[in-house]
Amino acid sequence: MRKKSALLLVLLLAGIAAIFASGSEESTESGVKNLTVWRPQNTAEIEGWWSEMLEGFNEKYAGTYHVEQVTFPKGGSQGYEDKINTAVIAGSLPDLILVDGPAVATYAEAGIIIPMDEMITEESKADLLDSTLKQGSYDGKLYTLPLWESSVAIYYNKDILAEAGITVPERLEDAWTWDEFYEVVKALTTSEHYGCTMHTNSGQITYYYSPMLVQNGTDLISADGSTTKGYLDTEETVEFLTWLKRLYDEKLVNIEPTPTEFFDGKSAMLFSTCYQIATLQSTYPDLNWGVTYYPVSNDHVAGTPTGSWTIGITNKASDPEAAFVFADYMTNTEANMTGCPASGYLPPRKSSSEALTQYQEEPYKKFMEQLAETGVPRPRTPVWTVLNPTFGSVVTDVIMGADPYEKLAEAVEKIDSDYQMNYAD
Amino acid sequence: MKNAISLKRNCFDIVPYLFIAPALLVLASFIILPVIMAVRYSFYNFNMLRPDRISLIGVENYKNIITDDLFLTAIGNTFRYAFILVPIEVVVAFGLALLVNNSIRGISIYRIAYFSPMLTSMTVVSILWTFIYNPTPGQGLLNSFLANIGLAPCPFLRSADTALNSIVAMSVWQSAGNYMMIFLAGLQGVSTELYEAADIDGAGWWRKMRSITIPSLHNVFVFIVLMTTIAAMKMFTQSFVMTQGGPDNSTMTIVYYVYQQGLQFRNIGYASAASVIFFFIVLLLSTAIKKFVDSER
Repeated sequence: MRKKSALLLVLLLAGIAAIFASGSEESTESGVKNLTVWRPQNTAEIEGWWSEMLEGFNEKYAGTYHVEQVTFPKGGSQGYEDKINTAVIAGSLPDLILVDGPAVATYAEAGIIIPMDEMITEESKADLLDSTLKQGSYDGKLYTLPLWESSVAIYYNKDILAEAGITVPERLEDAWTWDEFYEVVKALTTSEHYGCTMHTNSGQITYYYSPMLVQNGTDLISADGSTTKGYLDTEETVEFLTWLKRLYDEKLVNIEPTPTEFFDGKSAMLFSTCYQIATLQSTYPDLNWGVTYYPVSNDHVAGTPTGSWTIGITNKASDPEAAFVFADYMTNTEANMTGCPASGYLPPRKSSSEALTQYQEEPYKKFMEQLAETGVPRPRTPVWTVLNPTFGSVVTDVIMGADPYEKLAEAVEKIDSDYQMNYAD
Repeated sequence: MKNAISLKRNCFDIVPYLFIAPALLVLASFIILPVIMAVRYSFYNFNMLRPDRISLIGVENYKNIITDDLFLTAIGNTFRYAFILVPIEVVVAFGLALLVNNSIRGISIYRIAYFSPMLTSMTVVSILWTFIYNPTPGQGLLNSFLANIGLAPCPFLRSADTALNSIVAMSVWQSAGNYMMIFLAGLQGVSTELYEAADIDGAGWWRKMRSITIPSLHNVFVFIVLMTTIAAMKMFTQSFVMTQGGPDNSTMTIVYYVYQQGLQFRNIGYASAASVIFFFIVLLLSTAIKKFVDSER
């Protein structure tokens, strides 16, 4: 009996040990350096591109480096962030992680990703578009390299606009002002279709609309990223909110837009990223559409959304130099040549913007122009994780009738107190 | 036999411990240990991304939480949700149980139908109902229906006035079937002799209900009220999937508040303190319900 129970205990312990022992092994067997990269899952095209690139890398560096990818469902982007959060606490971060542009500051401030300035060549750094260089930098150091870039513009249904006798701006300096945009949307709204489709998904609101605050002379947060007081809670922000609310109040824009209402002709215009071009070309070849610029303030100040996913080296990378070789491989001009068209996003480098001729032509041309001339990266602040959802709910709440002053005051309190709790020295 | 006696005598024998070991191990690692850690962290300033900078700050987190208007709103919303949901859910579940307790041919189809929403995960149900509650007539099922009978569209989840109630309605639909099953089991346990005796005494339907059915189901009622209350206090999925705590924080519940602070904003210390407060609220509430029920007897 004793023997049996002892045996049982041994078996039980062995089982537990087996569960916990199945962790990663950092083998350098036969001198091959193993690297791991974490990233959120994305569209089928992007998944395919990653697999191809990894295969190419492992072939090219066979015997020296071997890279494995681990993908996580995005889950409204929070699912992937949760994985990184827990890995930080458990000390189990991989060598490289994908970081969304505005999150660079948070991770850099916490020391989770390390600067690349000493590894990157001056030439490669100088080749980055201004907006991407800014996005990947924090406190004067470069932390991440961009896979691609993005911008937002207005897609329009040519048939509906022709019928309504509306012509669109063809030059950046002629972009519609907020008031002109409102008038156009109003003129385009009929019982058949909405004037425009706009985003009210609170996770994306900051990306889509925060440049409008900059156009209007304010911002989400101070330049050093430490306080929203005097920036977010200003008349300029309220003006923007009032302008946006009016579009919803007068039912010119669908409060709960369906994903395809523009494609189905149920909406005359679509306020969206360059990513839609690929969908329009492949899935809706019969739709007669064009692109025009993101609106400018009534004083004609321009400012447009930018930013996308970047790759960074973590503080747990066993060999940062090796990790950089991979980061560079995924983000250099050659990688852009296949990655940007596959993803449907824009080239983040000057060299690749020139080499990829399709980006100098319509419909991509206007997005590229905006990126080069008027791109406003989202604020680089460690308190981004609070700022982003908070601003998103201010916008949705105000649209639904909440008092803008009250909501902004609440938001400022929430964001600033988080900064004080975590980042103020 | 000799063996068995020696087992009894030796209180340090390993066998009984071995038997409870698997359960204890799971319980300890997933319940007991996290609870102890949460209580500990609630006294620290602990940001998830900076485990190196963790620092003891005493009751600072608690002070900040109880002065945070949003937390008070979350408590208010949670109680409002529970107070509206529990009576409706109990009445609906009991009513359904009475209906399907009849021995009509094919009644089991109804039992399955009422129970089936329970088999679907709350996440899936919430996504489906987001479509049903779509505020635009022609897109949302309910609003199309309202438009057809000539009523004005209702914003449902998009308005601070209606969002929480819309979630209550959906939640009742989702889980009433489950409690109906429990009521049904209770109803079928009530002795038929009592009803026969009542029939002889000339008691009507209502009299039988009041004097036989409801008193017989006393324990079932207590159980269901307790379970629905605790479930209501923990409400999270619906707010997370359907409204993200909005509009205007009208569906911000305590658990959503803890989630937002802890996982979204990464303030583990602060969120731990909030969940410790939440634990005491639920504990107090369940004790109060238990006391009330006991005093009734």
